Amino acid sequence: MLSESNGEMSVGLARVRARFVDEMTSRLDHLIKLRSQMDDALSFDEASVEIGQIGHKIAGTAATLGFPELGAEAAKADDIVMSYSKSGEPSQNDVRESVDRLVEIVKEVVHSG
Amino acid sequence: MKILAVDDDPIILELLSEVLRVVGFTNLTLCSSSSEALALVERAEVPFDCFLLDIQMPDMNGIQLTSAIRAMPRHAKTPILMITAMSDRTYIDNAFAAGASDYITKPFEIGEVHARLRLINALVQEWKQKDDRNPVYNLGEPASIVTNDDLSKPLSLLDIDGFIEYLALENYLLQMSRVSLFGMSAFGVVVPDMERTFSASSVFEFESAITDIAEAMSDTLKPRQFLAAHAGGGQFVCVLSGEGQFAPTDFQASLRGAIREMDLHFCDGRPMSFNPVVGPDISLQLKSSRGVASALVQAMLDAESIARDPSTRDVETPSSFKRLLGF
Repeated sequence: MLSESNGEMSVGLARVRARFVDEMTSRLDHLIKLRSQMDDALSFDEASVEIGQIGHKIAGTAATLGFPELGAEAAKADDIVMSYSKSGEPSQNDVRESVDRLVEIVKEVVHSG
Repeated sequence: MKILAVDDDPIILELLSEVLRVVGFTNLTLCSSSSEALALVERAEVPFDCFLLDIQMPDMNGIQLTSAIRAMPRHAKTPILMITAMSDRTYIDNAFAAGASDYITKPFEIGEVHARLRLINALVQEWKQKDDRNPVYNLGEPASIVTNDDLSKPLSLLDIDGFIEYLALENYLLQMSRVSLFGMSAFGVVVPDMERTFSASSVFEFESAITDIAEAMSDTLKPRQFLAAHAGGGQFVCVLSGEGQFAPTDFQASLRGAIREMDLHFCDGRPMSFNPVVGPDISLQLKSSRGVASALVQAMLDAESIARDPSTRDVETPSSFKRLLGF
């Protein structure tokens, strides 16, 4: 999606993209903390809802800023958490696995800059 | 064009700011919450020309914000473009029913945002030119005698349940065609002889009559889920969703009854008499995004055709031919 832009916009978008990656660094710490809370059955629901909200925000911008895989994984995590909180499906393990995949791809984005 | 963008994600606001700046939309105000936005809109000396709203925000969401903005008379027609990650049918339905003009899902294509904003800008400039030419329009005082232009322009009718602008109805269907048009259909309603009936009347009388007919349509269609629009003159189009068969002749009889009960009159006391004609419903299922816009036109043409020759209602198009036409 970045390819559509002209040169002037590329400079501006590169700035927004850099801000996005910076924000991913602090979000990564928060995601890891929330993911560890999900191992405790008592705090699972609360942590997963917050992860869903983070996933929702990442999914809204990642692809436009040139991170389509991150956007897709964040959207999946948001959907799975939403589905779990509405119907109890899929299982808590499936939710954890989806969050693990999201955490891994956020790490890749942060490390690749 | 003075734009207000509201989103609780600062990255989205930065991104929009950049995307808009490059195509020359620099008069942009950014806002991170609905309550802050409402306060800004209320106290703005120069009103905003366009709103870009997220849906999922804490406290008041973007759909509630849309309703609140629409409730302000000076923003009854201001374009509201939803930019949201909420792609479920319910959100799309609720956003347009609340008064949204258009809908873009995140993550968005930059070119798509540019294209939609250019269209909105063209509309806004056109309205501003009209206001400059006709200062009376600014004061909300209608011209005395109706012109052909008055008769042919679609009215907004946003105060009536289920009614939205014609362009918004097209945008709604375009958006739904990307999600699901399952169970949706469209039909047209034509009030014959509107032009002749109102040729020597006031704009106020014409607009009052259109409003009354739309109110009768809305009341008669309830409790069905629908969105409808005035398309100019005596033409309306309606999109039904949800379960249940639609019987055009029954609806036509109920609508005529509801209008008779309203006992409508011109300002000089002469009675108004309308006998709207309801066309057959056209299934929108499996329609392409281009197909949905032409289905709205076809729905009105069908109603026109029955209004000209009522016997055509009984001529059932063979199902094989309907398939060929894409209906």
